[in-house]
Amino acid sequence: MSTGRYIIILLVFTLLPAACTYSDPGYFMVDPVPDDSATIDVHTNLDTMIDPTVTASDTLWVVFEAKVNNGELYRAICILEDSIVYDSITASEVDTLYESFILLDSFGIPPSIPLDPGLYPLYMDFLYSTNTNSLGDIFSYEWETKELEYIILVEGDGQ
Amino acid sequence: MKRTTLYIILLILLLPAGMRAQEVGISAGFGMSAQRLDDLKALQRYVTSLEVVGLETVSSFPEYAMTSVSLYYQLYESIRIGAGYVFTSTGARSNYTDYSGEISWDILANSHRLGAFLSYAVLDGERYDLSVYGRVDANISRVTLSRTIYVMGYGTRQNEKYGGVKAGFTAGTEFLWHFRDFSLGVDGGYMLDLPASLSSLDSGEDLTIPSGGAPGVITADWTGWRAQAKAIIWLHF
Repeated sequence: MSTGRYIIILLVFTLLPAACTYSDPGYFMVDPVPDDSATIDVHTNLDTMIDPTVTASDTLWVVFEAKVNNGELYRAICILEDSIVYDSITASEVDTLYESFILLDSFGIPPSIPLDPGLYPLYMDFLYSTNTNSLGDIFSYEWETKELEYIILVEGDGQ
Repeated sequence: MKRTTLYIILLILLLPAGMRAQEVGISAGFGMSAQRLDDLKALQRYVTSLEVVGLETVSSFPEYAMTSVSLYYQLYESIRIGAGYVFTSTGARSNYTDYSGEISWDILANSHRLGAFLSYAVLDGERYDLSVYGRVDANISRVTLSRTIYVMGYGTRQNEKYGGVKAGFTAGTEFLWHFRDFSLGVDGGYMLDLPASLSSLDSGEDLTIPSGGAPGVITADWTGWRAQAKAIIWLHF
């Protein structure tokens, strides 16, 4: 028998089983029906404070309460300049009243914060559920964000 | 190549004395098969029912391609015997996809059948023959369960592999058209499979789902029709 015929037989032996292995790339596309949107109410002591200031000797304490209606609160994070000054995920549980829909907590901005004297924006971001009923919503990978901005005066020596 | 030659020599040596040393053939076939696999269909329904969203059945063990390779020996004018391997594959998929991600359950079921057969020519012409055949196989089932979740750029895929072995019996007909040193043909038959319980290839535990308050063991039942086209190369000794 010729070599070519052997080669054909070998190819049949090796290639046909691989070609016959079942696969199905099909998918079922769904347009999720959202529930009523969640809403969030946030109150902080900065709302009523005039010229919140970090002095050379005093920490500025920020107290806040965030409450989500018809949804879950996933995270609160506060950023001053480029520094994270508060993150609910890493915050001590002792200081945190954190249920699935409400967060009551506080944090301080100490004089030792490494910033030159001046005015800086403090961003407070609150992440909460979208209620879209998508997989991202169900697995908490998708969220709405409410962002508050306050101007903070830093008088410290920045050391 | 040496292995192929060795198999041919072994087959010839194993034949009873007094047989006519005529022709040995090697065949390759490609076709379709249908299979029952009722337990695996129940498994698909069960695992998808556990998800947090409603998965839709995209496919559920449809008829799918099969392939075979065999050795033939022309024992008598009307009788051929042989041995071979048949590979059958099918599967199931359930899926939910939205703009943020997807969840999928995939079940891949493969059957590897090693067996022997005997065929008898009921019509034996110069250029063609029509035969009936019976075949006995050891049916090795391999089933892979995969769950895939991909949401907002994060994903995970879990695989579990299961296996089982049982006997299968096939009866069918075969039509061959002969050329100078090869034949082309088709065959079709019905396989009756003894359902093989599936157990984990890692832990050895049986694959079960709740059934009437007690775990029900999942089996692979490949009973069903099969049909294929094939080519046989005859080796003259």
